[in-house]
Amino acid sequence: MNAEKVGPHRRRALGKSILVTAEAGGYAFLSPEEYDRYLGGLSPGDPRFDELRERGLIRNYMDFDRLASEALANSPLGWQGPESHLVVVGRAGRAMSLAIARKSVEFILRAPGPLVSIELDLGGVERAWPVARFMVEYARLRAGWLSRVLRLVVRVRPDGLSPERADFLAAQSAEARVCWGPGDAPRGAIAGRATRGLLVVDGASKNPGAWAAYWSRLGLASVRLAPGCEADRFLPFYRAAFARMARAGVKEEWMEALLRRVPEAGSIPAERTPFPLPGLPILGELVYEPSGRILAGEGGPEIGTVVSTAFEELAEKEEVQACVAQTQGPDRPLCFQCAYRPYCSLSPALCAVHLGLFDLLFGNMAKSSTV
Amino acid sequence: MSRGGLVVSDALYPRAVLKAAAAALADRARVELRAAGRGRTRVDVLPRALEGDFLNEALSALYRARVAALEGPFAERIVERVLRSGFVSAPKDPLEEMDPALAESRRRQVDELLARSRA
Repeated sequence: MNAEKVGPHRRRALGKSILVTAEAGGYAFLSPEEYDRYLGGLSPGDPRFDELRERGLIRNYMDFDRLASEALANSPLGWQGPESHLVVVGRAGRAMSLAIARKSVEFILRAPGPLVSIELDLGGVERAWPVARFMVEYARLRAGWLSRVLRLVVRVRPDGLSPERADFLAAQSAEARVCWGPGDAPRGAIAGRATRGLLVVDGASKNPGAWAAYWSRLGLASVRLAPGCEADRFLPFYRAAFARMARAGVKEEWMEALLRRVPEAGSIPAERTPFPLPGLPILGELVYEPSGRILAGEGGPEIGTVVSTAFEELAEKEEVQACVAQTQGPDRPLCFQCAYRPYCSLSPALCAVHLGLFDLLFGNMAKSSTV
Repeated sequence: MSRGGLVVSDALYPRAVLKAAAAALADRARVELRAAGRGRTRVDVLPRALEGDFLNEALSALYRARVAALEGPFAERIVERVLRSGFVSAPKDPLEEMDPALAESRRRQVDELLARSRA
């Protein structure tokens, strides 16, 4: 290898192409012959030279100021607060109290950042609806007072969205997300108008094509597929569903999030959508339980309560420090050498899922590239 | 524990690495580490069918330690910075703090909202 000309990069074979990625996010698909030429040191006359230089992959032509600012934009140093807040309003037949609901909204709106996204999960509990309704109105009111940009989504079961509820949500610029779990089938009407969906995929999930067609018939704009099983059982369903959803015109939200993090055509756009991908504890997502407990992401440890913890106190919690340290992954060899590291949130629990999704995304891009 | 097993060089596999590999197999195997003299360690893995898995884990732990040493200081700086400057609350509404009448009016609005929700 010509160490004076080859820039630091990671690589991954994708079909007949080799994906090379630079730390700052620039990437290129090379044929094996081109990769051999690259390792030998490209000369300025090579047809791929200008492209690879622009993408920060030629060592003796690196613009360190530009690359450093691009790398910074996508690192935790550019983090501006947790964007996603999942509030479990109802669970196991019990609903959150109005007092906790109020405290939860006030806590969430103390989190910094340009956008606050609140998802209220009714958990199939009928008595949780009035509480969710209050939270929607109060969050909208308070966000207006504070001039905060707020996205509101309410998670309902397929039988939990009446036309009246849908109308209320629309009037509050809130969206309804219909949730299906293991055991549910892709059939049945939804009484009210929903725009989003969520399907928890387990090892027994089947008929991805029927699901995609069903979501298309319901008029959903986007659906998120969530792993409820190991990655090796989740990914085959995901790949099949994603292909059908693309044909049916239904967006898959996880893939949308990945796409926002990958620069178009291998160069870095002026404004990157920053941190993080879905499912990253603390830096990406906080979860609020009906009791008021705050969790570091779904299934994560308790890090405080909306009653007694101030947002700025979170940094002092050992669990928070551990979660933040985990995102750096200095002790994880797989992350160290992973070609997708510049675009990933380094969420250890979701590593295998992210790897599969990035393979799908970059694999499709490689097929459509000119290599 | 039966004789045989593995004898590895301490220079290649330090004791901490072997302990990490043993911990990784804790739910599947019993691992004993003993000094074997001349800078070597004897490793007995039961069942012996997992000796290969043990060596894989040892190699992984070795690589992990090298990466941590290489990247650790840089990662620590990032984590420290995020914790120090990333958890700053969004400001309370300055208008409410300057104007008690506005604050009172908003408090009444929230009370009305709560009362309507309770009803």
